[in-house]
Amino acid sequence: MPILPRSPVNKALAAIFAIWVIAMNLQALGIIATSLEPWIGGVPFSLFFMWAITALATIAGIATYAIWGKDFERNAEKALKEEM
Amino acid sequence: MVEISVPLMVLIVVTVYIIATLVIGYYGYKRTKLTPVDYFLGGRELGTFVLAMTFIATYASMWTFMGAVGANYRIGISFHQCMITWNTLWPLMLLVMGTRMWILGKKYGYLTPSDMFSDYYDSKAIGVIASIIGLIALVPYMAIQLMGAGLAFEAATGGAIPYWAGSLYVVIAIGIYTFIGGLRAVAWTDVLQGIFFLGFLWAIMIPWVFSLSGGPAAVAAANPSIFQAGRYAYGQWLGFVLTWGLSPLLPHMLQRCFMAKSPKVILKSAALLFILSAWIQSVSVALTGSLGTVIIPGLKGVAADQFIVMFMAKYSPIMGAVIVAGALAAGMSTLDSQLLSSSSLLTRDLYVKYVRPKASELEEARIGQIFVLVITALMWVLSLYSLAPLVVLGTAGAAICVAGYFFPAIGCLFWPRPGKIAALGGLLAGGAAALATFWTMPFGFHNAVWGFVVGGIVFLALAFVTPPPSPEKQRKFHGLFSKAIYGIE
Repeated sequence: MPILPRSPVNKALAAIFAIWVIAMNLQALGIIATSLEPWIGGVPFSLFFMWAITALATIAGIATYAIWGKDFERNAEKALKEEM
Repeated sequence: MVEISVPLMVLIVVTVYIIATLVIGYYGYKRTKLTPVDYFLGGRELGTFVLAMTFIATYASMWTFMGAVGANYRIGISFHQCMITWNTLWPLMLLVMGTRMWILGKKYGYLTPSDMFSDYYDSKAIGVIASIIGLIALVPYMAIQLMGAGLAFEAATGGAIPYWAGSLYVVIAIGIYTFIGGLRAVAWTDVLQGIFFLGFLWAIMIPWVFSLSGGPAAVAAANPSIFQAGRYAYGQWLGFVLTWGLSPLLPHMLQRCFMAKSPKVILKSAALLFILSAWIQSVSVALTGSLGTVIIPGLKGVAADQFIVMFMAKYSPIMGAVIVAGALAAGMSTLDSQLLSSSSLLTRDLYVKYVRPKASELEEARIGQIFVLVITALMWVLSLYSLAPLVVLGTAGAAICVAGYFFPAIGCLFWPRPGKIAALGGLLAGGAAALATFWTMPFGFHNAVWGFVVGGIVFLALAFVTPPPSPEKQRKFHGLFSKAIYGIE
């Protein structure tokens, strides 16, 4: 079974997390976004990149709660009341 | 005007802080009924804010306050890149694993990770081994935290308060409020401690280092390599990300998944922790360490871990007292949670299951209290001796535990195929490989990576050739997830 119920939105969220994982690994390996130039908003590009990609993952995390939260709450409460 | 010496100031500030924790501990005591669920898990009634704060305060230790600042000072944003990755990964793990563990805890009344593993796999051996590995991860680490507390006291008071007295002072405070108030005292003091040390970093350190350093552009002009990414060895990067990114598997973190009041609370806390952990915690530490390189240049090795202490000694010695309190807050909030968790492992997994299976709830909670006192005393005695094995286990313990627990957890939570032999194989092989490679780090890879590789091979191989758990157990766990996660009837 998938980690979350299959739906286009959940697939999009999973894709964002996958991009985040790949991007952070590539940057850690020194393959992408290692240099300071160009500076964006007073921040070197290397730092801007990791913050931007992590911001995306953070938004996806909060969106998971916002989108899936109600269903999970309802289903979990129902499942807890039932006899297994 | 009366002049107050720095040692006296340290003692006053820390004493005020410790009194505050004891008052909170007392309120925890007033609200706690002496049952195992109430004492160890706060009655499974924590709300979003308290749960999120106890998670973050438990997670961030004295190392975050000192060692992580030092690592950012030495390695620059390449280390921050590692830290922000694991600090984003563990809230994500709470979303995918923590929600499932919460459902299991609520439905079947689990108190410890071993309760969950031994029930699913119908194996007492898995439960006992998981408890022993959990204790290996917790007890030496607690002793090391306490060593840090003693050293912080001694350094801040110029030796006026000796190491042994400083660590004793802290351990008595933790022992008292954990003994009387159980998890409520621990969680509520965690809220105070978390606000205190994160507030200290954001309200005092960041504005100060920004104005003194001239900001990132000035730092880059003096030392451009600080802002270069990809300078941290990937083998270490991966090990840190795996160990701390999967830290919800550590016993004291996993048990927090059992504490949420409702499904909404566990999910909302995970969402909140993306901000608290990735942003509020790791960015504050990174900016302090990286920008600090031009304020006090030239610190090498472990001297960089003392950056905040040196900074205050240079610019405001009297603020050194607040630093000691801040470092203690970070350390105590981890220590108390680990103390209570260790006590629950000994009480539920060993005493109740093997010594007194018919123990009443009151007896179980009382035994838990006794173990809190015993471990407190043991921790202090251990902290007086810098034993090499203790330091090794304290440092390697988290990787051993996470690399071991990961495999039985995969079976319980996601994949019905692996049975008890596969789970036991993964648990032992993962933990043993992480321990065996701690000293050598073959090919430059962190021991956690080897734990996952070796444990993963053993787990997968055994999963396909040994029997799966019984159909009833699969239904009990995975059937529950079908309903609760996917809404399948």
